Amino acid sequence: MALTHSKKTWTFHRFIRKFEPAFYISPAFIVLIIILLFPLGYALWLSFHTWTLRTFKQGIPFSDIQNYAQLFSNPDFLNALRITLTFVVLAISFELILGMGLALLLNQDIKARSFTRALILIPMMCTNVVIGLMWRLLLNYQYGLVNYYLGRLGILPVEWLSSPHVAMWSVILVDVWNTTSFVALMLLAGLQTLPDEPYEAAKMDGASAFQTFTYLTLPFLRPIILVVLLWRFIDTFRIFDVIYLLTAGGPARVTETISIYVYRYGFQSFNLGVAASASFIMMLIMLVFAAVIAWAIGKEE
Amino acid sequence: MKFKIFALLAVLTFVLAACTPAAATEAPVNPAEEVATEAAPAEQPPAEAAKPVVVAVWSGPEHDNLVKVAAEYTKATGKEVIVEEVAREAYFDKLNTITATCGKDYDAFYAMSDFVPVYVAAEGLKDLNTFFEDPAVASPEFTLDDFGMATSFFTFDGKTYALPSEGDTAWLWYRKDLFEKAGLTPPETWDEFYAAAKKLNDPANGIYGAVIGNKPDEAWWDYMYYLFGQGGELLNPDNTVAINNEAGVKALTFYANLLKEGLVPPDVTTFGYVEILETLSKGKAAMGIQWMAAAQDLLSCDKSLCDADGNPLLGYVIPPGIKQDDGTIKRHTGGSQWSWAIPACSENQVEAYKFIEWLTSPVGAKLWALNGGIPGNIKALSDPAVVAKIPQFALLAEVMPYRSIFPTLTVSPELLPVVNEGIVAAVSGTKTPQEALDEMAAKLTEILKAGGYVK
Amino acid sequence: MHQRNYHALKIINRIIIYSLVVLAVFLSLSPIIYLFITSFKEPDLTFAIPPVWNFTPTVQNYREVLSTTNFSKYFMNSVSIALITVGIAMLLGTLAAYGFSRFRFRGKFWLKMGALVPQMLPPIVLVVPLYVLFNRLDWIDTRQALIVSYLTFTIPLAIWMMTGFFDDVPIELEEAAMIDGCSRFGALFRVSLPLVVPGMAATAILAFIYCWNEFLYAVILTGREARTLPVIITSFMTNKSILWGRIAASGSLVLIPVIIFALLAQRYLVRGLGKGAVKG
Repeated sequence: MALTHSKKTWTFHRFIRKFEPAFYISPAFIVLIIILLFPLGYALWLSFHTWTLRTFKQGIPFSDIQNYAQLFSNPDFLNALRITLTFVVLAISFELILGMGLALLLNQDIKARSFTRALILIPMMCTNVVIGLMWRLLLNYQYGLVNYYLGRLGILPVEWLSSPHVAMWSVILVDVWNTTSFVALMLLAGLQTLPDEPYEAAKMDGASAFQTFTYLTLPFLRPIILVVLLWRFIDTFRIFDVIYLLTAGGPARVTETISIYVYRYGFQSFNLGVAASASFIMMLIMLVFAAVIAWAIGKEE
Repeated sequence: MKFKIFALLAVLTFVLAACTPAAATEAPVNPAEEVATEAAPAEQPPAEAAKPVVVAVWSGPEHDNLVKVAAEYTKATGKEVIVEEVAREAYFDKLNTITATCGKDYDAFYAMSDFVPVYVAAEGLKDLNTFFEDPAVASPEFTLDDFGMATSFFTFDGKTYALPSEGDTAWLWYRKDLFEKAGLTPPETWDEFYAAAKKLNDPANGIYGAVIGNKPDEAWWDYMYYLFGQGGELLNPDNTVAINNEAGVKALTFYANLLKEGLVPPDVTTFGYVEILETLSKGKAAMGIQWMAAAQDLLSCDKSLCDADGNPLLGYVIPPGIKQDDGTIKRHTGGSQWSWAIPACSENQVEAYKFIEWLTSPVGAKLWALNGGIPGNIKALSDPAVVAKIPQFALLAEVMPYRSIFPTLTVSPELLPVVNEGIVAAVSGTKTPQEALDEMAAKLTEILKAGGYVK
Repeated sequence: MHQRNYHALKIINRIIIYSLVVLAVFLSLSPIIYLFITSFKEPDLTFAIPPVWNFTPTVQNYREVLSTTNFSKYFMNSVSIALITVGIAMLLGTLAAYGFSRFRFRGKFWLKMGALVPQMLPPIVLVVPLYVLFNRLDWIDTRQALIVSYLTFTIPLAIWMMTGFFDDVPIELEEAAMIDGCSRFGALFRVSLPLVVPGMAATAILAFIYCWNEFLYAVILTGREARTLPVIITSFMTNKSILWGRIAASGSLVLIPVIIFALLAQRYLVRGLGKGAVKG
C-alpha cells in the first residue's frame, strides 16, 4: 500500500501523526487558556502589587515579592497554615482508615449491596451550606441532638463548637462524615478489581486475614489510595464553606484554616494583593504535593 | 444508550432553559394590610416607562420592608423599583466587588457606615451633592437637617455620599418578673449589673444571670456597649488607639469575667444576635444587651415570654453607665448606622437618587418605620403615628446624643476583624485582657498608620 | 461437629457484618434524615429539647420557600448550568484525556500538572478577576458567566479522571480496529468510547455535584436572573434570624435531584471510579 502513496502524502501523514496528540489535547487547553488567561494573569499581577480597596485609586505600586514575604513573616498566616495542615492530616487519616474499613465491609457479599452503596454516597452530594448549617444545629451545645442523646447515655454535654479545645475535632468530624463515603467508594471499586489468584494462593499458604490485607490488598490498592489522597488533599486544603458556617474560624481562631484567613484578612477588607499572593502560596503547596503523588503513581508503573 | 439519553436530556434542558421567559421581580410584592397608605402627593402620571431602579439590600426584615415600601413608591410615582435580595453571608463581598470594579449591577444599595469611607476612597460612590444642587432632580422639601448628626458619618470633604437610614442602638433587656421577685431594680451602673447577674444566676434551674455574644465576627457589636458604658473608647479623638487604656482593660476584664464566673451560658463563643435573642426569649438569661430590632420578638407573646395577663416578662432600659460624684449617671452607648448609597457606575443614577430621596424623606421614612424599620429621618421618628406604634423610638431619640458608632475611617473594615479577634481571645481565655488588648492596639496602630490617620 | 461450629461462626460473622453496615448507613444518613424531618416541623419545634418526634407534619416550610423565592426559575438555572457545563467539560475533557492516555510527548507531565492548577486555586482569588472580565462583556448575572467559570474546574476533573479510564482500555483493541482500516478517531469513537462510558458517567456525576453545589461564584457573579439554588438557601440566614424551617426545606429540595442521580447511576459510578482509579 505504501508504494501507492506519493511522497507528499507520506510527509503529510507523518506531520499529522507527529501533531496528532495536539488535536486531542488542544480543544480543552485552548478553552482553559482562553477562560483563565485574563483572570490568572490578573491575579498573578495583583500578587506583585499593592492593591487594596482603600488605595487603588491613588495608585497601584509594584511591590515585588513583598506580599509574599509579609505573609511568611506573619504569624497569623503561618498559624493558619499550621492549622490547615493539621486538619488535613487528621481528617484524611480518618477518612482513609474509615473508608478502607467501609470498603472492606461493603465488599462482602450482602443483600441490597448496590442500594446500600447508593445511600452511603449521599453525604457527599449535599450542598456545603446545608452541611454546615445542619451540623451547627446538631452540635449546638444547648439544643443539639448530639448532646441530647449523649445526655441520655449519661455523658455530660460537650461544647462541640464553643470550646477552643474541642472545636477542631468537631470540624474534623463533619468533614469525615462528608467525604468518607467518597473514599470508601473509590477503595471499594478498587477492591472489586483485585485479581483472585494471589488470594487463593495466600489462603493455601495459610496466611491470616491481617497478612493478606497488609501484603496483598494494600500494595494492590496503592495507586487508588494515592489518587484518593491527591484529590482529598486538594479539596480539604481549600476547605471553606463548612468550617465557616460551623465556627467561622473560631473560637479564638483555632479552626481558622488558610481559606478562612485569606477570606477574612484578604477578601473582607478587600486587600486583593495579599489575597492573591496567599492563594498562590496555597496553590504552590498543593502543586508540590500533587507532583510528589503523581511521581509516586508513575513509579508504580 | 444511557449516554444518548443523557445527551438528549442535556439538550432538552438547554432549550428549555434558554426559552424560559425573563423573570419578574425578586419576591412577590405584597402591598399587605400592614402598610399604612399615606396620602402621598402623586407626582406625575405613570406615563414614560423609565428604566427601573435596581436596589440591593440584604436578606432579612430590611428586604421585606423595602419590598413593601418600594411598592408604595411605585403606586405614588408610577416608576418601577426592583428590589434585589443579596444573601447576608456574601453581601459585603458583593458590594466591595462592585464598588471596586465599576459594576453596574445596582443603582442603589443599603450601605453600612463602616464601609462608606472606603467606598468613597475607591471612588465607588456617586457624590450626591450634584443632585442636591440640581433643582430638576432634588425635591424642594429636601434638607439634610432632617438627618441630624447622622449626615456627618457620610460626608467627606464637604460632599455627601449617602442618605442616612436606620440608626439604631441596643437596650439592656431584663426579666421584670425575676427582678421584682428578687427586689432588684434594673441596673444603672455596672456594679449593679454584676450584682444582679450574680444574684439571679441559677444554671441548675436553667437560667443564667446574663448573656453576651462572642461569635468571631460579631464580638464587637456586643462588647461595644460594655466598653463605652464603662468609660472606654476605641480610638481617641486624634485617632490613636484608646481601647487598651485603663478603662478599656477594666471593661474587657469585666466582660471576660462574666464567662469565667459562669454568669453567662458556656457556649457564648458561638453566640451572635440570633442566639442572644433565642436565649432571652426562652427565658434562659435574666439580662442581656440586645439590638432594638429584637423588640418585635422580645415583646411579643408568641415569640417570647408573657405572664398570664399577656404582659411581656421582658423589659428594656438604657444600658448602665458610670455614676458621677453628683449622683447623675454618665452614659455612653453604641449602635450602628445604615444608609442608602448610589454606586458610581450605575446607569440609572438620577432615578436612583429620586428613589432614595423619597425613601429617606419624612414620607418614605414613616412608611419604613410603620413596616418595622427604624427611620433615619428625625421628622418621621417623632411623627405621632410612628411613636404611637413603636414607643422605643422615644428612648432612641433620648440616647442619640451619646451614641457612638464604629469609627468611620477608610481603614474601618480592616480594623474590625482585629478588634473582634482581640475580644474573642480575652473572653475565651486564650489571652489575658491586658495581653489581648495590647496586641490589638499594636495591630490597630499599624493599620491606622498605613491609612494615614496617625503618624 | 466441625460443620456446626463453622455454620455458627458464619452466622455470627453475618450478623456482625450486617450490623456494621446498618451502623454505617445510619451514621451517614441520620443527619440527612434529621434535615428532612426538620423541614416538616413547625419552625418553633426546631430547637425543642427534648426533641419532638411526635408532631403533626406541615408543609408550611416548603410552601414558604416556594412562594417567597422564584424557586422554579433558580432550579432551572441550576439544572441548565450544571448540565451544560458537564456536557462541555466531558466533551473537551474526554478528548484531551484520550490524547494523554494514548500518546507520549514532551511536556506531558507538566501539561497534566497544569491542568490541575485551576482546580487548586481557591475560588476567592479568581472571583474578582472573573467579575471584571464578565463586567466588561456585560455577562454579569447571566448563565453563561457561571458556565464559563465552572468549566475552569470541571475540565481538569474530566481530564484527570478520563485519562485513567482510557488507560484501562488496552491499546491493542484500537490498534486492531485501525489495522482493519479505521482511522484513529474512528477507533476512538467505535471501540474505546463505548468501553469508557461507565467512566464518563462517573466523571459526569462528580462534575455535576461540584457545579450543583457551588456557592461563591454563584453569589458574586449572579443576581436575580441567573441565581442558582445554593444561594437561595443562604438567603434564609439573615442578620436577625436563621429560618431553620426554610433552610431545612430548601436544603432538602436541593438535595433531591442529586439523590435521584445517585440512585440511578450508582452502578456506573462504582465500576467507573474503580477502573479509572487503578492507573491514576
